[in-house]
Amino acid sequence: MINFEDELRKFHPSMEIEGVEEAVNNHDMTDMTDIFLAMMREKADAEVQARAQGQAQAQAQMEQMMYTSQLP
Amino acid sequence: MKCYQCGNRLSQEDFCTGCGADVGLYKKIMAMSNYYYNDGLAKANVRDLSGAVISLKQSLKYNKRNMEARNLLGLVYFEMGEVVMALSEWIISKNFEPVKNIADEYIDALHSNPTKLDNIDQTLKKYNQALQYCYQDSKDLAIIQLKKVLSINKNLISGYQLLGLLYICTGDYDNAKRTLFKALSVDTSNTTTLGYMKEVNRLIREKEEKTGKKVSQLPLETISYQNGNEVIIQPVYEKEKIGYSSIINIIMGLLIGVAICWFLVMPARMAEQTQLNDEKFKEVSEQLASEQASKQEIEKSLSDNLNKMDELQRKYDDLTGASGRRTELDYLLEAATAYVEDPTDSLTVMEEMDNISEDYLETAKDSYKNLYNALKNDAASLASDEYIENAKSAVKANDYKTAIEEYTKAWLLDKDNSDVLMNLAHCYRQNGDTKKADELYQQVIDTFPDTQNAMDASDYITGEE
Repeated sequence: MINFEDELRKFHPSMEIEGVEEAVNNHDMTDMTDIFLAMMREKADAEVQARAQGQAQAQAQMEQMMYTSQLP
Repeated sequence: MKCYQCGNRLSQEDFCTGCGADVGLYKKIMAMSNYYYNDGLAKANVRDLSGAVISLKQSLKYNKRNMEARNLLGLVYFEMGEVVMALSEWIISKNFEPVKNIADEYIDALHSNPTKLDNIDQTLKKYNQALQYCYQDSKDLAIIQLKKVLSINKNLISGYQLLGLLYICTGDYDNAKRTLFKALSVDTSNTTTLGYMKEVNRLIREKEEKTGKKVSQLPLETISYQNGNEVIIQPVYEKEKIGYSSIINIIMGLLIGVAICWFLVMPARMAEQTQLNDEKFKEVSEQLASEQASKQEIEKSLSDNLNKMDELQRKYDDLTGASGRRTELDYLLEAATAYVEDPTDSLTVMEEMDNISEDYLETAKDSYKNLYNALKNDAASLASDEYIENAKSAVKANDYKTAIEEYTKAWLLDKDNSDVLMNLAHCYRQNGDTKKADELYQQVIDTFPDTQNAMDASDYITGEE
């Protein structure tokens, strides 16, 4: 059974010619490619960060080893 | 397809041969975008416009730079009557790819016809107005407004749907069905339209079960079939009423035919016939006029001839004496006869000769003139004396009137006799006509100056007026 009020809510005012600019400006342009590229960038950043962290740890271990080998 | 990182053309591998980037997922995303574009295109081909919109939007969610999908989405919106949405898609498309873009042509086509664009804008405004009426529960006004909108923008799906919904709510299921059929002819698989159609059919069935009468003349279900890529919706078939209505239709047809014949054909035929008659009438009139003219000419010539004949006859009669009229010759002969019989009867001779006119004498033969002069010379003096005697006798009898006549005749015969003129003047004076008498006295003075009569006449002139 159709409810007129409920159905009427589904109808929205049609956009007029003057609203084209607004429609273009407000258009959500984000697509899957944008998300993918963002993910790739995040991944690359994470890798760079992890690499730098690993290097720092290795250097610390090296220094620790050198220090212990010099002990009498 | 190009690498998203370095722009190098991608190969079959899942990594970029230029920069070594992992492009496996990127390729899958592009493939999904193309898949949805193809799906949308297939749906658009069979006029499943709402389905095409969903697929094309999905395609653009995967890849916003898929220009074919975006341009097609604009076209589908345009077909659905959503011109502004179509325009915005084409503008975005043009921004992404400014050159060699078919969206350019679409935008130009719209801009080159400002009237049409304005009309479309007006219909959109009216549609929004109709929606406002719906919110205000003014369904009748909304229906009127939507009818106007759909008469101009015949593909506005949302307009048909709203109108159908309004018809359903007002219980006008027949019109609701017709409207929804139109919506389906534009967009065959719109779920909203199909849902309304199903509801209408259900309501019609319910009503028919309740009332036991056929509520709608239209079939309950839409008959549609696919022919290749085309979905064909069978037009609503309405069985033609037979019986009285057909007879009435035939009669009306006949009446209309007769009316057309009477108002269109007959005047032309009558005008043509009238023109022909006018031409004939003109021709006959001209003939009649020429015949009348010739008749008058003949009559005139006949009359002239008759007159001439009468004249000739008269002359002939005069010459032959058949008319009984006496001629100058007769007068002269009478005068000569009277003179031969009695030379002293000068009065008879002169009376006959007085009838001869001066004009005739001028043209008469010499022998005639000679005889005339001889008779006149002999008879004139005698006649004059006789007139004088007669006048004197009349004066003695105091008959001045007769005396005047006699003296006048004597004066005419002998104008050298001043006594006659003098006596004539006396007679006038005695008769009481002093004016005439004065004239004659004056004539005596003028004609016979230096005579006794002239001197006497001057005494007699009274000078009365």
